[in-house]
Amino acid sequence: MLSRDIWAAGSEILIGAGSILVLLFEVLARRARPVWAYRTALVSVAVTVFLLAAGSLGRSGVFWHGGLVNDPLSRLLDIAAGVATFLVLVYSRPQLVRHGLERAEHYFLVLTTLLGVLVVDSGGSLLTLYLGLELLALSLYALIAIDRRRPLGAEAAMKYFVLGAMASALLLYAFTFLYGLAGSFRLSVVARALAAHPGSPLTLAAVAFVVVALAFKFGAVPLHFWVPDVYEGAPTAVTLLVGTVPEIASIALFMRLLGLGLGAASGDWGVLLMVASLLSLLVGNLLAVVQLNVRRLLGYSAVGHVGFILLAFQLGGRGGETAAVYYTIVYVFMSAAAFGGLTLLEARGEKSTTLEDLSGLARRDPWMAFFLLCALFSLAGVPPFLGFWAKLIVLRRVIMAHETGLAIFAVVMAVVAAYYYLRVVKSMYFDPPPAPGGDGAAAAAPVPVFSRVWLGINALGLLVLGILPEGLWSACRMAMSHLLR
Amino acid sequence: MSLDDLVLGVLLLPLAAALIAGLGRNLVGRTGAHVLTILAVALAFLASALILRRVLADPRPHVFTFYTWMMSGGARFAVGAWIDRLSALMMVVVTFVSLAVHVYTIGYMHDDPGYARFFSYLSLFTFAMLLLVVANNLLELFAGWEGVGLVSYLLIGFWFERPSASRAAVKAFLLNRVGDLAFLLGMAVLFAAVHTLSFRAIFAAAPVLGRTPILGGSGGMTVATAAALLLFVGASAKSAQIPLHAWLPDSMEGPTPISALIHAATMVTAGIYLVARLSPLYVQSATALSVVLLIGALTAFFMGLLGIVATDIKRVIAYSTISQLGYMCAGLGAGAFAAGIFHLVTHAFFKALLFLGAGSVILAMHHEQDMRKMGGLRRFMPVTYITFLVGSFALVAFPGFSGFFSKDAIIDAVGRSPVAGASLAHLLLLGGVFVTALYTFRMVFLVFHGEPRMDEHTRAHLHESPLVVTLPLVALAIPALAAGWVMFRPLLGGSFFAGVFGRLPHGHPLGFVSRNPHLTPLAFVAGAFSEPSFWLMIAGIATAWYGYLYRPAFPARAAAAFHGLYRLFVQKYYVDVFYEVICARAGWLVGRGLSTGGDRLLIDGGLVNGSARLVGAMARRLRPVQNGRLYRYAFVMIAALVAVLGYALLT
Repeated sequence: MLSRDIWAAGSEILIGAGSILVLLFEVLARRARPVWAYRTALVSVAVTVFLLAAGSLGRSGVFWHGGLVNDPLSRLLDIAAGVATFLVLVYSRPQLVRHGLERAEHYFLVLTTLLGVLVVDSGGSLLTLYLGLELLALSLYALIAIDRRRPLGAEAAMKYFVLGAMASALLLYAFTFLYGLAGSFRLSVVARALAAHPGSPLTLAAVAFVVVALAFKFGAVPLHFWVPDVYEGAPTAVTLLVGTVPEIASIALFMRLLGLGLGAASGDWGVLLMVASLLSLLVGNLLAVVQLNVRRLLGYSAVGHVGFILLAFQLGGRGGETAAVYYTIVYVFMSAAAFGGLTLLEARGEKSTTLEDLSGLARRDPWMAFFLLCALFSLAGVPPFLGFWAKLIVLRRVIMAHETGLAIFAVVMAVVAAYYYLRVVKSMYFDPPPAPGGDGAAAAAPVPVFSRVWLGINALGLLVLGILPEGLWSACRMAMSHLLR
Repeated sequence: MSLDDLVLGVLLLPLAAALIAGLGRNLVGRTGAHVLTILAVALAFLASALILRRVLADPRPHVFTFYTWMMSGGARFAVGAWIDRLSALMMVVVTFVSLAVHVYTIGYMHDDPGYARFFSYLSLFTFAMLLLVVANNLLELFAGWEGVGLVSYLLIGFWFERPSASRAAVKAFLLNRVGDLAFLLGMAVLFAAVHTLSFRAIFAAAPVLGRTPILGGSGGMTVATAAALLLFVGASAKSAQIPLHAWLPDSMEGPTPISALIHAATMVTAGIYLVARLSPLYVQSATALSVVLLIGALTAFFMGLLGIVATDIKRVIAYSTISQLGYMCAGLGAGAFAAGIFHLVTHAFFKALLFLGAGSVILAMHHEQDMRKMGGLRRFMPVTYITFLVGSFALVAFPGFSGFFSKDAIIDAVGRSPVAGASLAHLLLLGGVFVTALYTFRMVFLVFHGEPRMDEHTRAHLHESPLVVTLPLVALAIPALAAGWVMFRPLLGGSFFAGVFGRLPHGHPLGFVSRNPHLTPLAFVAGAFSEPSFWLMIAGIATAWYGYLYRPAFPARAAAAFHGLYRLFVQKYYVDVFYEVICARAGWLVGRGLSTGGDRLLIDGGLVNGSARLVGAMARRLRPVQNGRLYRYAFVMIAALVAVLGYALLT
């Protein structure tokens, strides 16, 4: 039975095999240059995405006693995570090379991160969800600390690890409650048991623990403290990863665990998420305003975006959940373009830490400035960029649920967000460049065309998909209308 | 190749060429820019011809959807195509004239620094116009409509360093805004009533809309009338009808190829096309048809009069364009949609020809446009002269030339139309015939005949224009001469446009052609000599000959005798003065009031700076919480858990 169904986990197996191959380079062929590890990682991700998109990987159905669920949602999220990982690999290599950080183990950890995300995407039981989550988190801890020369990175990794371990403990504790209620790890069984015992104290306790743990993973206020520290402390190439791929796992976790598993208690977690969402919108966006460090700014803005996602999710119905999934996918690619641009700037030897470092970029490198502009406009929600539709769809859902007050609050916060995004644009386009003769200009080296072209596709994609928004949106709706558990 | 592939090719080729020539103009260079755009438009022309051949074989409308742009509240907004004989004919006309203008531009813009940019705009315009023509719903049509408006703005102001050019561009843009607002409102009326903007649904609902009162109740205006009138305001801005015509003469500030393509042959006919396309809606409203008819007839007569006093060669042709658009409008308003479209097609050829001919003259005259400084050019520029003469005879509707068939068909149809106001319109159109002949041959005589009045230097350098300029002239002269003979029976007899247009409930004004199988083109020409319009036209030419060749002192004497009237014409009926003094001044005052009172005090002072201060203050309060200490983070986490647990268990 198991052997027959083994290929149901085809995408996970491919990525796992790829990661082992990458490790083998490090162990068996120590003389081989790490670029081979990079190429292996790139190819295995590309092949997996291609096979998933072609439909020849991840047969639909429920496998392994409910442990593995392949449905259109898991496929959509797998593809999104795969594409995001591909972009992350492409953007990060020039920077890793320049700072002497390129080692096979980096690529290994990126692949295991992706593997964790893939497992969470199609997790049908509490165990698989937890397994994927830990795989993901452990890879991230290691990656954040990978540059041992940077004390800031080690500090961020330490904080993230301790807090993350606490969150994991809370999640496991909640799982024991759920197991006690249902007598099974399967989400479908849990859902039935919850529907049979509405409002029991055990359910409420489980909901409370789950919400706190998940809010931590997503970086929602008041459990967001790790976000700016990690965004600032990690090497830029890792920040790029942290800000993109794991978000897919977070929304998958929300969908599987809260939406499908604890759907019967949506009245209970809805209120909690609403509070977290409002706090995230408020605190994330307000604190982003006062940041001068671009990465911290994007970190706080990420918290603000999580507020938008939760705002849609807390509505409870499938419509709100679909909007949340759509927003997350859109956000991941906006974030990839923004961090990708910063990473490539660093790879050239330019500093991209503060707003001042970016001033006058439009004159030094008009294309790069334009790509960043696309990403920032999209993040701000300026039409016709893709980010506009994401916000529009969430707000429409909220208004349809007669929560007009919440919608107005979210719009006001979006205006605040537009302020700090546009300030970065202003600095790139209108401020005079820093005085010449510094080390920045002298050390500027060309960025590989391959990376630049992909950044261009990513950034212009935000514009093109914004003009033609129907495809991605209907893909999300389709995925959410055929859920399995 | 399937029909929808062909349509996509026609649309996307000019767009791709425009993008490459515009964004990559450093890459492809000058030659690359014109080779690429001309190739794209030529292919689009061939594909349009193929499409026309297909729909000739199969007259049903072919409706495609290429892409669903968005779904909103159950309404579907799509990008698609509606290919029938009307849109296919328009595609051929647009791509043909565009191709001729593209080739001509190589010669005309040869020394201009914005060469590649100009070709990019030309191709972009072609794309937008084609999108407008093939659209299968109002929203898509509106996208093309705004697209051509944008390119028109860019091209009128192409020489933006001239203040007059950028003023003219802004003026065209603003007056078109008025029309666009009405267009949007018209769309909103239709959307509210039909819940979709697709033509198919609107046509199906038209009879009901013709009976439904707009604001409920039992009396008053019907939905069809309201929508048709609003959309006609939009159409009248684009097609320069009274009172939104004032931008078109000023648009002559743009380079001449633009005047030919955009401000004569294609874009300004978009309004005509819109009304014809929506004819099933218009026939449901007698009021709207009367308005269209009367506005058209008034424009045809009174704007023609202005052509008599203009001295700039391009402005004369511009007023003649407005007046001819008035003829088309009158044809539509009379219910003779086929005649209006017929005149649109023939006019596109002969008016593009006249403009390009004028451009050739301007080129030879070193960019002198004042006709008083020309004269006797026919000896120096034989090709330009002959082709210009062909265009002029077509314009005055000399029997046998293309313009004759279409214009006399309109005049005849208006005379037979059951629409209210038709008899008045008929008189105005007949008067317009005399006026047209007068200003046209005044122009011909002033430019090509008589004594040369230019200075010695210009005169010494006079020569015929190069082949890239004269070739398009010849290419356009052929249809200007012959198109009427070929198209007369199929277009007006009803077989070509079978089922495309709505029909008036009683009395079909074009029935005189379809019911009379003996009315061949030759018979129509023969019959012209007993019509008043022919003799009016001869009288106009004779007056021009008398005043400008035989007794050149006569015009000045006439102007002195009727100096009040003359002033009225020279001041263009004071319409510009009205817009500038009343509308612009009032708008400026309101704007300044809002700016100081509303914007600076309330919004900037209170809301923006106030809220910015508030945000800053709140952020400073929040900041110390994030102090980087791990134990505090962990504490907040536990506190949050306790709060959540407490909330969950207590409620």
